[in-house]
Amino acid sequence: MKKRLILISNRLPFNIIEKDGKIDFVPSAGGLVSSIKSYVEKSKTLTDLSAIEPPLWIGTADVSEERFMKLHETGNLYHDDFELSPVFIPPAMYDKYYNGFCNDTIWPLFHYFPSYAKFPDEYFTNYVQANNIFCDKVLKVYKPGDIIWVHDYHLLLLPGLLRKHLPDAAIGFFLHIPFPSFELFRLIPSKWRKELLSGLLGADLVGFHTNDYVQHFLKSIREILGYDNTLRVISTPDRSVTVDTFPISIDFSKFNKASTDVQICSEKSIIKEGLHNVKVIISVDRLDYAKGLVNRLESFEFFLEKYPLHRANVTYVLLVVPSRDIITKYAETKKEIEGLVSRINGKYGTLGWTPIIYQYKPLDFKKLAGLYLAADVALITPMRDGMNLVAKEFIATRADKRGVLILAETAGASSELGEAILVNPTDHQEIADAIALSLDMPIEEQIKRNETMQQRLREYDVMKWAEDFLTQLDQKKLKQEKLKVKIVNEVIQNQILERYEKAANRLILLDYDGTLAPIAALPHLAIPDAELLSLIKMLSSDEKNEVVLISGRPVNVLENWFGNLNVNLVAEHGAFYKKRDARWLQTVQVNADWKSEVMQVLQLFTERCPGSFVEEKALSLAWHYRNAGKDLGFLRSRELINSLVEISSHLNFQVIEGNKVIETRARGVDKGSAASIWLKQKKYSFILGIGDDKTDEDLFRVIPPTEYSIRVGLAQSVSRFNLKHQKDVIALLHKLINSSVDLLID
Amino acid sequence: MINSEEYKESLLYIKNYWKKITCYHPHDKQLHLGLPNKFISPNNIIFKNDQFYWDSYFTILGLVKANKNNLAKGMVDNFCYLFDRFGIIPMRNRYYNLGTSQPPFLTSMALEVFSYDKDILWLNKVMNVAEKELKKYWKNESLTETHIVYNGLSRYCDHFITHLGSEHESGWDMTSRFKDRCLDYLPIDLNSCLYKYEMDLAKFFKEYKNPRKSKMYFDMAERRRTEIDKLMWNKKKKFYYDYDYKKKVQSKFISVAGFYPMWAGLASPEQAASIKEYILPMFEYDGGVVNTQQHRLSSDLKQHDFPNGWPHQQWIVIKGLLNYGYSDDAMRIARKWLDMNHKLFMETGKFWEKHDVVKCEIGIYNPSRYPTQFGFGWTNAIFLRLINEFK
Repeated sequence: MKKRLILISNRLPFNIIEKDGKIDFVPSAGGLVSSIKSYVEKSKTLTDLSAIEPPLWIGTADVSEERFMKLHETGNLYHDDFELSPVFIPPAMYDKYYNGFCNDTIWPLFHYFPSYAKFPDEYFTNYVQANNIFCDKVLKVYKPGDIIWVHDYHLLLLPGLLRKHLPDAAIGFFLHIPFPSFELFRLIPSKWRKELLSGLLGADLVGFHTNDYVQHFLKSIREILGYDNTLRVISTPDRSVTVDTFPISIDFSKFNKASTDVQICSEKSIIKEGLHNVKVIISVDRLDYAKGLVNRLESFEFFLEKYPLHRANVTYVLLVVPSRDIITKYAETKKEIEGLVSRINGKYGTLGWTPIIYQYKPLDFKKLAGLYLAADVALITPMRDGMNLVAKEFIATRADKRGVLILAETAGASSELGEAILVNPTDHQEIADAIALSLDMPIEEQIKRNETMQQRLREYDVMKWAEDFLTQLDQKKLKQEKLKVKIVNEVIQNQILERYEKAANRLILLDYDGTLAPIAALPHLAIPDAELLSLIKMLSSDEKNEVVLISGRPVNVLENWFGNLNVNLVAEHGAFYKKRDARWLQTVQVNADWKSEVMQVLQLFTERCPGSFVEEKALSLAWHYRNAGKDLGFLRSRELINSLVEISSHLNFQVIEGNKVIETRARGVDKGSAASIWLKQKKYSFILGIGDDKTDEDLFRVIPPTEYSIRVGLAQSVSRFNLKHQKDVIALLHKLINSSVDLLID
Repeated sequence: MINSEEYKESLLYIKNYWKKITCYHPHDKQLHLGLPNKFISPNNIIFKNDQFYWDSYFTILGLVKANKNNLAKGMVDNFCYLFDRFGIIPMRNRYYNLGTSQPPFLTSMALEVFSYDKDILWLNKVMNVAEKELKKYWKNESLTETHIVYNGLSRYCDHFITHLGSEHESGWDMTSRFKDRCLDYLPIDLNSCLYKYEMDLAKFFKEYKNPRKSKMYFDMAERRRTEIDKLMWNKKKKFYYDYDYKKKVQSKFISVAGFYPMWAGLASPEQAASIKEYILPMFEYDGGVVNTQQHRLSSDLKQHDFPNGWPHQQWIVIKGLLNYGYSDDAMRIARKWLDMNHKLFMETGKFWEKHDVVKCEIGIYNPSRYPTQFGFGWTNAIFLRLINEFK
């Protein structure tokens, strides 16, 4: 059975327009709608129609609940491609949520206009409430097996809210605008930004347009929530979330076929003739300060100034599509644009030539395509843009492969359209030069560039985009299923016990902090209690057992605690070891010249972070921050890692992050190589290794895959199995002892 | 007006630097040919003991302002010596460069030195060498490496008659200007330089009471001007372009070479006015005048292409503007150039061979050739000269 897709976006994909008792659905503008629509249309032609349930689209409607119900009764409210499920948000709340937090806070901030962003409390509280209304709606319609796909910055909290109720649901999230660098994201008040990021981590798959946005997101997650990632998979304590790049695209063939449409071609001729066949520069943007319109007009003016020979030979057609003009900043931008247009036209225009033709109105597809065909140059220079589909549409429309695209490097599309002339959107000189270069570009060169870009757009069009996202989401769910199997359950535990009982000789490798004992506030407080000591004693007194405690602790501490137990010890993550009844030895000869330099750095950080302290060992230095203020400690630890990694490249040490500790250690020393000392000396018929942090990963790597490596906690690990809590380790060890006791009794 | 106080750190550096790059290499030794007089090298790193041809003219422009007229005079004599010995003024005094010259500036450097010491006998001697150079090298139809090829106009051509070697002779090694077919072009800069030779000789012989020779050179110059106007001036595009005499078409490539007619005085006042009005703004960036149009179409870096600007070309443009009375524009460009050099000096403690005038940084270079040099002979000289010119 094919799974049902539930799409959730702020708005339903249609406006409802009622005129003279007639009801019309008018498709809304925007990349998402056309993307999903063509995906659905095409997948219908590919699959057996009856086998799929139409996707369900949840979003707000244009009208009140009462009105909507009435319309519904008339039976006119349906759509061929989607089943529609409206959400109703009270107008006052909607205003604070949509015009407020969405477009007065997140939008400007995520588009690098931090000074435009406002942060009143009521914005956020209404945003939370609105997201909750969406959540309730989804929960009402959700059936197990449905795939949930949440869209855009209006609903950042929704995946997290849904996850609380639907722990196993497949939830995807896609952000259609840029994700800003951490320095901007951190401007959001602390409590909100944590909630926003945790909200996103409710999803299984989080998608962005470009690699930069992915990197920015991962950094924010690391800095604010402290979750690290491996190859774009974020490990949280209880789940893992995949983050990836899915550059949205367009319906390539629809645009590519436009030049064969008679009506579109006549639109093109009208434009060309109307402008007396001078060269045409075009741009199409929704009204927005982030689109760089003011800078662009100033650059065009600079171009006219710097290249006087081009005057009267070129006209700039500036089309602006109305949007959000009830928000002050938008109205101001509009006014500024209109002022500039008339100033430039007044300054350079002649009776026979107007430098800029300006329109502020929406545009239908045929007019738009006609304009693309009439253009010699498309000048698209947003200050920031998540993707920018106009750039892609222009390239796709030019079946003749003519025309030059000038594109800002700050538009998401620039990472795919490298053959365009890429410019900085604030650099008047660079833009002016790019215009001159484009107007003179030889035809062969234009064809060469456009061919390459068209090829790329054809291969990854919008259909591929949605498919790619949904396929990855599917695979993610499969992986999660597999991960579940890793947790030691009854069956696995019995298997371990059985192997243990049968084994003639066994090697048991145990970490101490976080594995045998809970993490303590100060390292010297984690003293093993009598119960633990007796457990170790019993374990090691079985002559079939070779027990090794592998710890990051220094020699003297281990000696103090376990010296009189007959047990193997490894200190300082493998730098020193002591076999039973033998003396301490160093595993490898390494130098510690780097220590004094690192010590200076650590002391500096200790001063800057009250509660933190340095622990010095023979071959390593550890900076502990478990007692420091939670946020400050974490923040400083990130900075410390950065500084250490920088100096580690020329000094012989490595940086290892443990649980609330940053440790620097001589290279070539790790728990894995220490464990090998025992692994090599004898053939064991049962091997068990347990640890709880990154330093134990080296240990897991040297344990044969048929034996038992177990990591405490649910983080990503190379270990064969996971145990949820530290106390589960103790329980397991008790079971091992008892089973052998039982055996003895038998 | 330019106030030299603003640049005093740079000027002190330049003053102290001359002695580091003053060379004396009187005998042929290893790669270098011996030269009778002391001379200035661009720097004492990779160009130690090198006296370059066109570099020397631009260096002399500064030397005469540093009270080093005798050194300048000796350098001109070195070229006369080389010509007498080899029949060519080579691009520099190395054995393996004897098959390649550089844009000719001998009359210009002689007149520059003469204007300070008025040694007419010396001038006469140099002008005689310049006459021979013009006749036996640049306009010699029986030479294997023929320079004069089409309607009395000349091209760059090295002894082995290769496009690459000719591009070296142009001094523009390397550039997109000639599309790797340097031999096929009649270059606007070379023909302007030769026009200036002919005019300088005509004026000299007029002064020197030799009306027959004077008229001969005036006529030559006039014929050259007519041909240049016919083949290289583009009335619609209001600028001078190289001429591809093989394909019989004007090049479309815009470069600073098109300003040489203004420097040489061959442009009419109308031509100069339209260049100033329509073309100059395209070349002018924050650091001064850029060498060529943008050519982001070609991917390899060439040091004589956009976004680089070179000290000597600034002089050509500025002097050209002054020749036609555009002193405000000339000073504006001079100031941009001085400010960029001074800024880079304060940042790096050095003067540089060439510059990225768009970003006001050290000039770009192709990693497969040599990195941008510091020192630097002509940069120091032009800097000093420009301050003196506008003070």
